[in-house]
Amino acid sequence: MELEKVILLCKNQDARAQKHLYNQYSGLLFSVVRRYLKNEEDAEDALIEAFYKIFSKIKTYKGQGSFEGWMRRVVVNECLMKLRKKRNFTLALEEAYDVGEAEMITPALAYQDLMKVLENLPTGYRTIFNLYEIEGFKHREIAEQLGISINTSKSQLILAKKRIRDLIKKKQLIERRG
Amino acid sequence: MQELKQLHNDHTVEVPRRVWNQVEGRLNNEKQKSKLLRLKMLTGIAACLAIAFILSYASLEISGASNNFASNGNYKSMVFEDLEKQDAYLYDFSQVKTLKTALVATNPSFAKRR
Repeated sequence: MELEKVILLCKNQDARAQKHLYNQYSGLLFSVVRRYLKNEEDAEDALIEAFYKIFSKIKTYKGQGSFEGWMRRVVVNECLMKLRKKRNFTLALEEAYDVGEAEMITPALAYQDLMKVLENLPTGYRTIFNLYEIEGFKHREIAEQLGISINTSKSQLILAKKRIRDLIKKKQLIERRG
Repeated sequence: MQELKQLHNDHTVEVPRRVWNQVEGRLNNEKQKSKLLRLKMLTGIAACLAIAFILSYASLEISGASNNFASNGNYKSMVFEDLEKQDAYLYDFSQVKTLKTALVATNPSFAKRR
C-alpha cells in the first residue's frame, strides 16, 4: 500500500491502515525512543502514547515535509515529556565554555555497543546528544525545548562527546585485555 | 558523525506485541467514547424537541384556542354574535327614528338631506 493512501485511510480512522502504519514504523520509532529512555517500561509507555497521538492527530499532518520526520518529532516530544515528568532530567550545570569544534567520535561501533555507550550517559548529556547529533536539532531549538540556555546546550554536548569518547576508550581497553 | 547518524536512523528494534495491543485498546476506547458522546447529544436534542413540542401544545390548550376556531362557521357566528350584542342599537329602527327626530328638531336642515 502506498504511504499517501495509508495516511489518508488513517485520517479516516481505518483500523487496517493504522495497523499497517504501525507495522511499518514501530521498529524504527522504538529505536528512537530507546535512545532517550533507558528504562524498557518507560520506553514502551512512550511509544504507546506517541502512536496514540500520531493516530489521533494525523489530520494535522498537511503533507508538508516527510511523514517519517513528523512521526519522529511526535516521538521525540513524547520522550522529552516523559523525561520531564520523571523529574530526573537534571542537567549537570557546568559553566558553558567554548572549546571549538568537538572531536569526531569513531563510528566503528556496532549498534548495540553504541546503545550501551549512550545508556551509560547521564540523562541530560544523552538527551542533548540525541537531539543535536541524531535528530539534527539546532542548539537554539534544543534550548527552547528544554528550557535551558544555548550555551548550556553547547557545553552539555561537548561534555557528552567527551564522555562517549572516554567510554569507547575504556571499552576498547577492556577488549584488548580480554 | 554522519555514519553514526545513519546507523541510528536506519536501525529498527523489535517491539513487543503488547505495545500494539495497548495502542489498539486506546484507539478503540476513544472510538467508543466518541460514539457514546454522539448518542448522548442526539438523545439530548430529541428530548429538547419533545419537551418543546409538549410545551407548545399545552400553551395552545391553556390560551383556549378552543373549538371556536374549529370551523369557519363557528368563527363567523362568534364574531357576528358579539357585534350584534355590542352595537344592538344600530339595528333598532325605533331608536334610529327617535334619534333622527331629535336631530331634525335641533337642526331642520337635516330633514332636507338625503
